[in-house]
Order: sequence, then C-alpha cells, then structure tokens
Amino acid sequence: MKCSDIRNNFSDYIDGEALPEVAAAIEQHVTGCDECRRELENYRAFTALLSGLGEEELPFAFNAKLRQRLEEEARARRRGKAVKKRGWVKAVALAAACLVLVVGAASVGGRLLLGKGANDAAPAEGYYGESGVALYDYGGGSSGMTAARAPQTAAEAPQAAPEAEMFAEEAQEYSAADNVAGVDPKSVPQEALERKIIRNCSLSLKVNDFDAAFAAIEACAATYGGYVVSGEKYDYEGSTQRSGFISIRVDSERLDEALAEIEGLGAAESSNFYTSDVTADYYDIQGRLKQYRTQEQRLTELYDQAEAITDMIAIEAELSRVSAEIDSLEGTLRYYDQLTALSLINVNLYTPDTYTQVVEPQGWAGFWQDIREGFLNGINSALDFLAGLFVLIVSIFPSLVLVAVAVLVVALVIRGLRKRKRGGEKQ
Amino acid sequence: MKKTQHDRTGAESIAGLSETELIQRGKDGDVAAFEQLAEAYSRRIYNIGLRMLGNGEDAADMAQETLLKIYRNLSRFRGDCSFSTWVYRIGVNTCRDMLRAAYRNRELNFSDFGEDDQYRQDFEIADYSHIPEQAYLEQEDQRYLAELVSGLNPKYRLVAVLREISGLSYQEIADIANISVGTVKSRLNRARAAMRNQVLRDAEQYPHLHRLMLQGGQGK
Repeated sequence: MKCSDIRNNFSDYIDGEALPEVAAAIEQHVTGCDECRRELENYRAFTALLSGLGEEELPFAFNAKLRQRLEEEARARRRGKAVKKRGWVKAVALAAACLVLVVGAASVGGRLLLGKGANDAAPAEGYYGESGVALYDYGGGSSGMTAARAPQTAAEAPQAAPEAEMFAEEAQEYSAADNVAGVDPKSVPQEALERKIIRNCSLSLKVNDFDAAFAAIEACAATYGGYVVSGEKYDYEGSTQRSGFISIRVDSERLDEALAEIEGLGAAESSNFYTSDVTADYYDIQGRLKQYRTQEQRLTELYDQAEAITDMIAIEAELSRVSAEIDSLEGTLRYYDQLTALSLINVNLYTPDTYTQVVEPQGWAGFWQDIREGFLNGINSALDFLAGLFVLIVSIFPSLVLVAVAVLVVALVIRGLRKRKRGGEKQ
Repeated sequence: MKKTQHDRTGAESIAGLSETELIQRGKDGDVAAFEQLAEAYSRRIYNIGLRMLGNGEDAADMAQETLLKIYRNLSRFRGDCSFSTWVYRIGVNTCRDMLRAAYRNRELNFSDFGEDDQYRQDFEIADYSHIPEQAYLEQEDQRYLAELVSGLNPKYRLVAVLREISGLSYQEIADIANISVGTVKSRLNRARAAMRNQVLRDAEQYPHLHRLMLQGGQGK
C-alpha cells in the first residue's frame, strides 16, 4: 500500500473501526515508514484534542424550565383526554353533516335529471348545505371546548342561536342568561367566574334628517362613556338620498340604553347582535400570568441569594424573559378588558330613497337596441336549452342503456315466440 | 420532616427503576419518571446542539424541544432500536430543522451555520470564512477548536460531533444519522482531514497553532 492509502485509513484506525486486514497493514507500514508514523501520531493527537472539547454543563434553569414545559404538556394531555370523551358530540355533528350532504347531493342530482332549471339551483343549494354544516360543526366544537375548561355549557347555549328575537334578551344584564338556560345558579361551581363577553352590534337605520342623526350618534358615543371609532358620509350623483356609516364604542354596561337611543332616531331596518365569549381564554391567560408571576418572584429570591456572577447573569436573563412574558400576557388581558368593557356599534345610516330617474327620449335607437338585446337573449336561452338537453341526455344515458337492453330482450323473446307459433301453424 | 423523608423514598423508588420501567411510566404521562429518564440524556443532547448550532441559546432551545418531543412521542417508541439511538435521532432531526430555519433566515443572521445538504450540493466539506481572527489572536484553543467543528458542513459536522463530542461508535452514528457505517467512515475521515488542513493552513499564519497539532502527540 502507498503512503497516501495508509494515511487515508488513519481515521478509522484510530477509532478502532478499521477492518482487521487494514489495521494490520497500517501497523506493518508505520514500523517501516517514519513519516507515516509521525503523521499517525499527529493525527491521533489532533483527534484527542477535538474530543478534549468535551461536554459543557447544561445552562442555568434548564431542568426547571423543562419541568414546567413537561407539566404544561401533561396538563394539556389530561385536558385532551377530557375532550376526547366528548367525541360523540363530534360523531353526531359528522353524521348530521353527512346527512345534509347526501340529501343535498340527492336533491341536486334529482334536479339535474329534470333539465336546465337545476343548473341554476345547484350552486345555491350546495352553498346552503355547506353553511349548514359549518354552523353545526362550530356549535359542537365550541361547546366541547368550553365545557372542558369551565363546566358552563348549558349556560352558553342561548348564545349559539343568533336569532333576531334574542336581541332583547341579550341586551339584558348577562348574569340573567344563566337563569334563562334553566340552570340553578347554586349548582354552578364556585370557580364560576365573571364572564368575559365581547358584545358588538350593527344596525341599519333609515332617518329623515341625515346630518342630525349622524351628529346624535356621535354625541351618543360621549354620553355612554365611549368614543367615535370612524365615520363616513356618502352622497350620490343624481340622487337626493344620503347615506353614511358610523361606528362608535360605548360602555358595554350601557349598550342597551345607547341602542335604544340610536334606534329612536329613525326606523331600524335590520339589526345584528353578535357576542364572543372569551371567558375561557381570559382565565387561561390569567392562570399563566399567575404562574409567571410566581416564577418571577422565585427568580428574584434566587437572584438575591446568588453569589457567583455567572449565576446572576443567568438569572437575570431568565428574569427578563419571564417579565417579557408577563408584559405580553398583561397586554392581552388589557386588550380583552377593553374589548369587553366597550361595545362596538356599527350604524348604517341612510335617508329614504327619493331617487328620481331622468327619462330621456331614446327614439329609434332604443327600438333597435331592444330588438338586438331581445335577439341575443333568444340565442342565449336557446343555447342554455341545448346545453340543458345535452346534460339531460348524458345524465339519463346509463338508464337508457338499461332500458334498451330490456327492450331488446323483450323483442327477442316476442319474436322467438311468434316464430315458434308460426312454425307450429305450418306444421 | 416526615414529608421530606417520604419524598426521598419516593425519589429512590424512581431512581431504582430501569430505563425500560422509566419509559413505561413516562408513556403513562409520569413527569417525574420522565425527568429521571431525561436526566441521562439532556446534557448529551444539549452538547450535540451546542456543537451543531454553534451557540448555547439555540442549543438549550433545541434540547428542550427534543425532550418535549420525546415525552410527547414516547408511546411511539416500540423498541426496534435502542432507546438512546431513538433519543439521539430525534435530537439530530430537531437540530436539522433548526439549521434549516437558520439557513432560511441567513440574511438576518450573519453568523452563517453553513449550508444544509438539502439546499445546496456539497462541493465543499467546510467553510471557514467566518471564523473571526480573534479566535486565533486570543489564543483560545478551545474556542478555536469549537469554531473548527461548527465550520464544517452540517452533514460532516454531525458525524464529527457524534464521534468526537458524544463519543458514539460508528454503528450508533450510522443508526442515528440513518446512513451506512461506510458513509460514517468516509465522512468522518473527510471532516477530520478538512479540520486538520485548516489548522495547518492557519498555523502558517499563526505559529502558536502548531501547538495544537503536536501537544497531544507528545503527551502520549
């Protein structure tokens, strides 16, 4: 073996992982070759140096941090199991979703056979089906989730139905809702905490004096402890109708008062009320915050006891991380506090439609225009009809084949019978 | 007083358990048992991260992440390889993910960790362009050596780290990195050659580095 081949195997040889024959060859070679022997020694020295880098100690608080994360994980796992037990809720939701889809598909399929009309109806049908599924799924999922965190599902039930009639009830003091659901307040566990609910609403209002109403709503914001979020006014060309949009925030405790006042300004055409319950999130964050605060306190104590500079630096780094977490959680809580304390009211404002169309004499041009449009419409409907017919034929084709086969069989049988009959007569 | 007594006996009952028993308990979600199990590996995982990622902060994150993944997926460990191999493999994969993320963010982070083999073909084994001159000037041999290792291209670095730092056998390295023993041999050989050549090159400019090459040899 050449010197270069020998040296190329030093790496394995030093680790004792070279093949026996290679190891033997190296040993034999280096007894005769001084240069390679020196090279081997250097190589070995170098690898020894590298392994001399060794392993460093774990950073400060590594195990404490790990324990915290493990415990969080274990808790999440237990919570996950609790949710899994409610799997039947999901199963029912899924079954319902399947049913809706099957019924939807069947009705779409059925209409398809009837020809063109179904083509128009299909997308609407499909959309309706989908939204129905989504709604159901949401209901199942959310009740499952909240139930796992706080056992108050029943109390939440009325919220799930965003009916217009709910409006009046919802506007009442929320604590009343617990009773509405038929839950004895005493049966709610001690840990039933103040609910954190974001309540917003939007309404369309027809008013006679646009500017006065707009100003009144602006004033409303101040009266009920809030502020104007945004406002816009639109004027249209060729129309005396005026419209606008104004969005205000008011103290959510006084939301119903504010609404009553705003509705008094004109005729409410539509109103939507939406709530979002952040209770679970809110207390979850509060719990985490508490945990971090204890940790901060512990770290501060540790810091006071620490003697080595390295320890102090490590604790300080950890402290700054913890206080950053605390800041961010506090920020989120404040944000939620603000959202729950102040309700958003969006108002679409407009005056009655007094739009007057200007009639211009069109002359013959209008006549030809009508003829042209009429003709084009005729072509379009003819094409639609043909397309519908084609779809119909394609749809019933499989059935036609079956019918054809049946007819053929019957015809053959009849013919066979006649032949036999005739044959019988001849004989 | 009585309580601490009790706690201690509790700890001992865990301490006396074999790895298999600890794994079983960990699968059931027993945090204390898992901690006991993790203790044997956390430092080793951290050190792999330290050499692979080049800094303690990322290494600590990586080790935490790895141990958490192990805790989460303990039930998936079926014993078709040794537990340590499984643990290291998860650690190595976590490292790989972090290196990949670092590669994607390389514009932001100038201390390039080198390229991952998925993103660039390997023409070079090592890239030492980033080693700061101070490393030589300050005569910090340890730091210089650490830089040597972290300058290697990740796939060579991994083999070098698992061998030199973790002291694993070729077979173990092969199992962890999912490559053949032959590949371990050739990568380690090339990695060591690249590092030695670098030291030799640097030694021309910085004579005191010769020490690194000869010291150990004289010791033996």
